Amino acid sequence: MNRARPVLRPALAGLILLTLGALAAPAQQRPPAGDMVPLIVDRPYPADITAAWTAAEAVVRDGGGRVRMVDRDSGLMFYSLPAAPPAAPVYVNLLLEPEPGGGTRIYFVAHNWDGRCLDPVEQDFFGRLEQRLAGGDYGTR
Amino acid sequence: MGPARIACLVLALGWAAVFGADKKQGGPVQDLTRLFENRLERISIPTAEFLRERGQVHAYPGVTKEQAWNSLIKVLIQNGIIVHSDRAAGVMVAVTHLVTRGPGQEAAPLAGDATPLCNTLDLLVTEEAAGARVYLKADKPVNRVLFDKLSVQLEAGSRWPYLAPSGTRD
Repeated sequence: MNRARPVLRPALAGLILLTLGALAAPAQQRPPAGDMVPLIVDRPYPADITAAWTAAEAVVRDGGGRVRMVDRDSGLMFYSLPAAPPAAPVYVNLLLEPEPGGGTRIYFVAHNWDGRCLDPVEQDFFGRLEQRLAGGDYGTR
Repeated sequence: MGPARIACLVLALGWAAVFGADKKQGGPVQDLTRLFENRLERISIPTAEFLRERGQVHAYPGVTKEQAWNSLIKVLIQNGIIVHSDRAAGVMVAVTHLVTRGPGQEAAPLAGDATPLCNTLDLLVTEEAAGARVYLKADKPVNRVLFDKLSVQLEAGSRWPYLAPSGTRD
């Protein structure tokens, strides 16, 4: 036993240090076991669908979104925003529809694991979109 | 066993209990990460012919393809994420939480992996003489849930067009 102690002591110290280090480290993003929380917001805009689409696409790209799918004919886009700890990655479907009376209705549907940080993501998107539309800056394309 | 060994054992067990449990708790993370960060890159897009041959079909008499397509988008974004959409081909792929265990589906492997957005739906929308047809091929059984939701959305579009404009617009 006495021979083993010189070996065990560093191992014990190492384990203690590892445990303390891991406990002191910032917690990783871990979702709850519950449902993934979606956020669905739709807003009408007076801009026509072409202008709204161009502006929305520019806002997504400027905001660091990775566009994964575009179906321009359906007015549908799928993009993701990278994880920004403690927030998890956010996955967004954007749907743009022409309003019967003119203008465009924009549906913003965001998902992540726990619903955290979805409101700021939505506010950021619509805030920058409104700035663009109000300023007549519909993007470069 | 000396006190140092016991301490080591206790620490190791504690370590496993504290940090090993996170792996179990993180099931959805692992599933979603795998789904979105890996599998999504290689998600297979079915052909219209494949879905027409192999898919479960539901007819919507008197409904145009346009109406069915627009309403389907509404249903799917309320129940998951549309990851592929091709209006011209009529093919759509969505990842949703819609899963059912109906009669005869008891063997569906839901217990271990019934995580959010755990089902992938491949859809085809066509227009026949009698109306629209929707073909569905799902990874896991969804029974009639999707078709019923689509019916409700189409009905809402005809009854309350101001609430669901996509159901009535051609």
